[in-house]
Amino acid sequence: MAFGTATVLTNSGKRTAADRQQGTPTRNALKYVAIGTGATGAARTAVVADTALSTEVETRASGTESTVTTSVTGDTYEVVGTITATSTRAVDEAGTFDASSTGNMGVSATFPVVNLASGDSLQLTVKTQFA
Amino acid sequence: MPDTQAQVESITVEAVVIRADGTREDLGVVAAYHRRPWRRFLNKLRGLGRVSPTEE
Repeated sequence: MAFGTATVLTNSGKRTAADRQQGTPTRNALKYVAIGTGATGAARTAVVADTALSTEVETRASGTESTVTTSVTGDTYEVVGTITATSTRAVDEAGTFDASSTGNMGVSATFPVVNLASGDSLQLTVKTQFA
Repeated sequence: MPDTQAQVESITVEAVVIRADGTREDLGVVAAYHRRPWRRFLNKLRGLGRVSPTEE
C-alpha cells in the first residue's frame, strides 16, 4: 500500500477501550505518545491492524490525559504529548501506546512530513471521540 | 432507529512545532478520521493533511 494520510483506532486500541470499562482493567491507559519517521519510506498508511510505528524515534512522551467535549459532555479522550528531537527528524507517523516502550498501540496515524531540527519539539494532541 | 451503539465518532491528531528558539508553528489537524463518509469527504476538500504551518 502506498503512503497516505490516515488515523485509526487500532484493533488493539479497541480492545483497550473495552478493557478499560472493567472495574479492574487489565490494560493501561493509552497515554504515551510516540513519533516516527518511516511511514513514507515503508509506503505505509495507518490501518487498524497496526501494532507499531514503522521507524519509531525519540523517547515517548507520557502525555497529559483529559476528557473534553466535542458533541456530548466529556465524549472525547484527549492526550497531549510533547517530544523533543535530538537530531534532524522528518516525522511522518505517530501513535499512542499504553507503555513508555513497546506496549500496545491505541491510535495509529500517518501524515505528511513535519521537519524538525535538533532541539525542536513536536506537541501532538490526539483526540478520540466516542459516539 | 436511533444510533445508540457506542463507537468511535472521530479521531484527530493536531500538531504544533515548537522551534528551539521558542517559535511556535501551529500545523492544525495533520491526520483525521470521521465515522461519517461525508465528513471524511469534507476533510479532503479542506486539504487536511497538507501541512502548512501558521506561526503564532
